[in-house]
Amino acid sequence: MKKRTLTFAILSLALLCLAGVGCKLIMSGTFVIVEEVEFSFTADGSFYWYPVDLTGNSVWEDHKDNIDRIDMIGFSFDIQNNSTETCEFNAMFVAATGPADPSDWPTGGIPSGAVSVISGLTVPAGGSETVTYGESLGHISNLEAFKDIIMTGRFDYYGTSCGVTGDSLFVVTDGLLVITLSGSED
Amino acid sequence: MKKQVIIVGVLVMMAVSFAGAQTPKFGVGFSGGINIPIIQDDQKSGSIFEFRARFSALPFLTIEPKLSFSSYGSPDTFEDIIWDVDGSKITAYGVDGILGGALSGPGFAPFFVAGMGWYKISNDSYETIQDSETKFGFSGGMGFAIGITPKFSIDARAKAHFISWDGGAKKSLALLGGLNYAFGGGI
Repeated sequence: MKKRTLTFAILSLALLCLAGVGCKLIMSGTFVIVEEVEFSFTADGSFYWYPVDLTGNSVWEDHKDNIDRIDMIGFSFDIQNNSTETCEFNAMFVAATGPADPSDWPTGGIPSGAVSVISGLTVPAGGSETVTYGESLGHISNLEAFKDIIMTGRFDYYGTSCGVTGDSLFVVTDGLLVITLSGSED
Repeated sequence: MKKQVIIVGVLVMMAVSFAGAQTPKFGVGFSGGINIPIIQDDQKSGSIFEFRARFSALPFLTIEPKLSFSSYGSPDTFEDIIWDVDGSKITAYGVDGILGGALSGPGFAPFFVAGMGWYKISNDSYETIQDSETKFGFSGGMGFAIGITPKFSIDARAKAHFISWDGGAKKSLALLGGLNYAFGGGI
């Protein structure tokens, strides 16, 4: 009798595990998040800054508690170099907390822990460039650290290039952050 | 690629080497079809090709070591973004079990298929920043075979693939049509 009970318990547990794993496998998928990142302002002082909060993005909201991994991250944006010299664009990201208020300028400058994600993207004097999602992948570095930052859902973007406040020497517009993630529905 | 060709070659040679056996129990097969991603926003339907050796283990069970190559398509755009990256490619090797009356000479023979194996997932567009990954997975489905001659049969099969992916799965549905050849007098 004891043996039968034990067998029944083990079989029940196995079935529950199978059902759980099966549900997880069936409900999981790969989803793409497209988040607007407001690049469209010129450098203030020596760097750009913009806070990003994925809360409110419907795809993120649907999956944020069940994300298995970030598969890939890329960008899409336009660059206009209005200066008379070749300019280099660099972008860094760092996990953040608190409300994402674009008017709350970081007085401490670029944090030392910011992860360099785009570097060495040069645009000739007077030139412009559209960087597509696929092209952006060729400029991304430190991908794994970047994924960890994205997983937090709240992070800040910092950028450097030519120009200072209000001179419009180097302008980035139509910025989009493209996140491909694997997860399941809530 | 070279490694996969060698594996296919070995499987075919194994099957051929047994062809002279008194009771023929071996064969080879090939299928091609479409691979449809399931809940994968970043992929579109693509092609799949599968090579297999066939061993008749029991009257109702055929074992099929297999090697398959599939590639997804890519959406042209996603929410107005130009999606200029390739679809993923998957190279898989493993074993299928065919349960039912398949491969047994002339006539119509429905069957169930279940298998497992390893799936190498890569993407040419990502290769500069991310390596390919090989994951364990399994598959299941059903199909039917029609024996044309004692040696030749055609078959059609639908198989769902589940590739384990950090707690979840990459899933797809493969719709395949193929040709099988049995060495000797037929399986």
